[in-house]
Amino acid sequence: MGNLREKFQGLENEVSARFIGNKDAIHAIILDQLHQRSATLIRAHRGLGKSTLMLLLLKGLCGDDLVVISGASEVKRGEVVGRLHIPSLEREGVEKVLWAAFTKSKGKGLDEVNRLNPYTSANVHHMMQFGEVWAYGQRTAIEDYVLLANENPGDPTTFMHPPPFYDRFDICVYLSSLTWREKFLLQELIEKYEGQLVGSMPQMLSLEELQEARKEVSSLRLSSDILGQINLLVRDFQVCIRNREESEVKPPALCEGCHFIRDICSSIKEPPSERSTAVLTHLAKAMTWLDGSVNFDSLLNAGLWILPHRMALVRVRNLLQDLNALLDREKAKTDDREARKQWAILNELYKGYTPALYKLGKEAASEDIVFAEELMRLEDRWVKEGKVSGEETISVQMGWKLPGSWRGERA
Amino acid sequence: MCHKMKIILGNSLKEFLESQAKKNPIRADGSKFSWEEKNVQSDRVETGSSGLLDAIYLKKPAEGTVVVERSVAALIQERISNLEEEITHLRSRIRFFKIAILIFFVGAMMLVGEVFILLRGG
Repeated sequence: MGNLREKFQGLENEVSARFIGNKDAIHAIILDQLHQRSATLIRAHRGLGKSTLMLLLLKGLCGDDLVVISGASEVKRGEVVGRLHIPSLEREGVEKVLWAAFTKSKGKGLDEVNRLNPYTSANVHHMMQFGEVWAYGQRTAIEDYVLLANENPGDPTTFMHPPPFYDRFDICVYLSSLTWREKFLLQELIEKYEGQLVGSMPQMLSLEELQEARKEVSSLRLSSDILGQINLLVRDFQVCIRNREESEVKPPALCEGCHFIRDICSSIKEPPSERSTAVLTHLAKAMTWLDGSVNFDSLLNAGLWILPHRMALVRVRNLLQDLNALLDREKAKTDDREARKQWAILNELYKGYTPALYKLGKEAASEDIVFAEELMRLEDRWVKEGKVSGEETISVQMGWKLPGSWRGERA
Repeated sequence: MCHKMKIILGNSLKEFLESQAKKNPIRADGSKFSWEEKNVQSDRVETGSSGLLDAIYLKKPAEGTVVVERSVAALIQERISNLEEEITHLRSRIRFFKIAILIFFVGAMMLVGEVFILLRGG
């Protein structure tokens, strides 16, 4: 394990030695490689080195076993998956598919992903979702891979990709331009490598070692506290007491007069998918393996990588700064939860109904939707068991409803 | 119906709740609860802010003195400010409709006047 970890640290060092600045982004990408079929998206404006960083990482992980598709050229081609073998068709009347190099290579790069044509992006989307590709009615399974993509969010895109396509990328990191000091370093670096930054990048570990590292990370067990924090972080960005997901009216109109109007939920128009929980869990395991530990602050920091491409905010001035502000509020929310000792109360309530604790629980629920959701499920049970009357419940008092539940005359 | 009432808890959630409960152990004594680490007897059930919430939401008569926790006071303050915002919003709407009604009324009166003049053959 130690040897593999050192190799991964060596990979990060080699990439950092050839790429000035953006150390957090590099570390995030390295962490994301520690699970199977990793898919990373790099966003940056033109000339900030997104393609260089993509190639450095692909070379460091896969050596020469890599294929890069460029969004600009794919607008015309669209042969990413495979093409028909014409001689077989002409001579034998058999439709034989020649699978494209992109499907076979371990390292897959997508340059300017927002300019890929719909046919190519649909194939890539299917590959990321099901681990297989189809062409001319034939399928082939895709083995474990490393996928890195980049795009310039400021570019007028040739085609608009649907949100589920972006959701398939585990993380999305943003690159920033170099500071004055860093520009000197870049000039020296280009001189040192004679402009061959990517060409000089060595392969730092074999594919077998990469897969072994991924297995080791996958087999790690996270503490229940970390799992609880991961689930709370994602749930706080998803939850809406007025069921935003199913509602045709979206925030801010939906939030008018809502009890939780000042909460995180009122700033979110489209919530992140459940995939964010899985990705954050992978990242937490990777941090434990590579960095030696994981804590709530590092999870909040990872929120900046897993959320930007998965959700839509009500008002965006600067996406990363807005997300930062929401994560600050999440931290304050967690401190409030600690102060209320609400999880200890919930633990007791799950064991059995206690009127006095239930009152404390209702107070906590009036300040925390996630807690309210759990309490409302319990209330449903207690009402059916005759322990609580419908009018007494916080759901009736506050007019809250759980999605998919009919309350009849109690509402 | 019985299967719907059952709430399934995952093992990790149980562990999380247990670990949180260990950090803040609750000691129950009849209807009173205390948090062990502080060794402070809390009888907020009897005199705490929940009495005020019951008075507001359940319309139960409040006792002589109501003690309000800072968090509950903040909650009520926030609710009041939200309601005030809504009142301001509704007032502006009412003002708009009043003006609209006045304009319609004046218009209608002028129309009636025109009709009278026409009927008189003016």
